[in-house]
Amino acid sequence: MSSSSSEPESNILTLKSADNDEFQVEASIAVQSTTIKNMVEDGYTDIPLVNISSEVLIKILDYLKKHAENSGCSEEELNEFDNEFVKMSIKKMSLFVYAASFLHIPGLTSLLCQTIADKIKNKSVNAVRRIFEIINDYTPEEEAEVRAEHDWAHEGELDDTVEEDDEVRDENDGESDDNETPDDETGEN
Amino acid sequence: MVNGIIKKLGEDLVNNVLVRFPVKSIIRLKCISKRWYTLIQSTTFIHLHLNYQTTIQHEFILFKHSIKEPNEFISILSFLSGDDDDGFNPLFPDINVTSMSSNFNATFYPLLGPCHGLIVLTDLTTIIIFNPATRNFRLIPPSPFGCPQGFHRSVEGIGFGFDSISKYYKIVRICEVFWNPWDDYPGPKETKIDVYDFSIDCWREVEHVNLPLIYWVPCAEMLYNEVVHWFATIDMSMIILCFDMCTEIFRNINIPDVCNNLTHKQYYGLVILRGCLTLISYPNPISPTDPINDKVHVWVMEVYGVSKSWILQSTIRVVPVESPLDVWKNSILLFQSKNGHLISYDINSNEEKEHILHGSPGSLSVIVYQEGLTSIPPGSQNSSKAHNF
Repeated sequence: MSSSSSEPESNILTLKSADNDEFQVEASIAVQSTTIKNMVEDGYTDIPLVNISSEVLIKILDYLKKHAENSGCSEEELNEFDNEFVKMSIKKMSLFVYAASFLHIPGLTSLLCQTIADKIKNKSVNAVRRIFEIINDYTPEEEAEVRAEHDWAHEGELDDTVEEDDEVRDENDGESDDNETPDDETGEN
Repeated sequence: MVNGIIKKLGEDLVNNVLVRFPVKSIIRLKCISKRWYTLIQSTTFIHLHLNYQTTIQHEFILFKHSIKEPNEFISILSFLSGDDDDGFNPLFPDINVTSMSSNFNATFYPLLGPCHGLIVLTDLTTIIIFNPATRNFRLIPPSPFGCPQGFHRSVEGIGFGFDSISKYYKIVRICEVFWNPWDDYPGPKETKIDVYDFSIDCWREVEHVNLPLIYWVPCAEMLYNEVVHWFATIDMSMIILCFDMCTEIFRNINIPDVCNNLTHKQYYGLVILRGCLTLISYPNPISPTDPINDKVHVWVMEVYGVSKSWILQSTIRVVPVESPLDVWKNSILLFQSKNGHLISYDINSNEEKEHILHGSPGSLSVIVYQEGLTSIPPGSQNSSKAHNF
C-alpha cells in the first residue's frame, strides 16, 4: 500500500497546508492517501493542500506514520492509537472526515465515520439537529405525524446532550439540553 | 434546509455515517427535517444501508415457535439480536402472530426469506409480508384461483424473492389440482403455478412444462441467487427444483448421487453456508433415535448449479434432530431438536449447545437476517395497507 511506482523509498514530499505551513513527509508514508499517491505518480513532490488546515494536517500525518507498513506497530497499538485519535468533538471530527475523504484515506475515513455514527446513533432528534445545525422545516403537526409512523423508535432513553468543544469535552458530558448551541463554543473554522 | 457541517461534508460522507446506524436510529432521524425524510426513504440510501449491513454481517434472528394451548396452537414471533456468543437477546417484546392476522393458524409452516430484510409468514393461504427492522407488515390478498367443483387445490410449495430485472418482489406457489371425491381415491394431479406479483398487486398464473412432484420438508424453500429452491422427486430420485425469479422458468439441480434415493430414511434441508447452497441430510425424525448411528451430513455445492461440485463438507453427530433451521455467523448450524429446543452446532469447533429457546415440537422456524430499511411494497387502493406491530 505504501510503495509508489518508481520513486526511491527515501523520497521526501513537501505538503503545504491551507495556512501555508510546509511539512516534509516520506513518500512511502504519504501515499497511503490515494490523492497524494496519484500526484506522486504524476511526478509531483510539492503537494498543495489548500483546503486542509495545519492543525488537521499534522494529526493526519501522525495517523499515516503510525499506520504505515514499516511502522512496526502491533494491532493492539494501532487500536489504542485510533481510540486516542478520535477523542475530539463531533464538530472537529467533521473537519477530519472531510480531509480524510479528500485525501482518499479509506481506513481513516471509515474510522471517523464509524466514530461519529457511534456517538450520535443513540441521540435524540433534537440533539442531532443541534449538532449538525439542521433547520427543522416541519410544522409541529407534520413532525408529530412523522413521529407517529414509528413511535416505537422514539421509546427508551435517548441521549439529549450536545457535545462541547474538545478541551472541555469530558467535563461537559451529560449537561442538560438547555445549553447554548455548540456554535458559541467552537473555536475552529 | 441543511447548513454548516452537513453542507461541507456533502451527501457521500453523510451517507457513509448514516449507513452505520441501526435501523431504529435511522428511523428516528426522519423527524429531523423533510430533506432527511426523503433521503432516508430513498431507494439509493436503502440499498446503501442494506449493502453495508451485509458487509459487516450484523445478524439478527427471527424465531417463530408455537405453544399448545388447550384448544389451539398459538404462534409467537421473537426478535433477537444475533451478536452474542452466549445466546440471543430479545430486542423487543414477542408478538403473537394472531395480532397480525386472525386467520393465521399454521403452527408448523416455516418462515420464508429473508430478501432485502423482508420476511414472509405464511400458512399457505394467509400470507403476511413484514420487515422486522421497521416493524411494518402487510397482508397479501388471497389467491383468486380456485378449482372446479369436486376438485381440490392444495398448495405444495411456496417461495418468496426479488426479480432484479423488473425490480419487484414476487411470491410463487406450486399447487396441485386434482379430482377429490369423497368416495374414491384422488385423481391424477395437475400442477398449477401462481405468482403474486407486487408490481401489479395481484396474482397471475404462470405456464410451465412437466414439473416433478414437490417433496415437502420443513427446511426448504431456500432463496439463493434470486432462485427459489424446493425438494422434489422424479421417479424415486430426489432432486432440487428451482424457480428463477426473473425469468420465471423452472429447472432441476441434482443432489449428490449417494443421497438421492428416496428411501424415507433420510430427510433433507437446504441452507446457505459460507455463501454456498448447502444440503443437510439428517435421519428421518419419525424413526426412533439411534444415538450411535444417526449422523447428519453437510454437503456444499461449491459451484452453484454444477451437480458435480457437491462436496461432503462434514459429517456430524447431532441428536436428536427434528429439522435444520438456518445458519448463524456463517459457521453455526441451527437445528430444532425432537423435543422442541433450539440447538446450535458450530462446525468449526464441533461444539453443540442446547438453548433455552423452545416451542411445541416441530413448530420452530428461524430466520437469520440483516436489518434493512426496505419498505413493504404498497398494495393497490383496495388491498390492505402496511401496519405497524
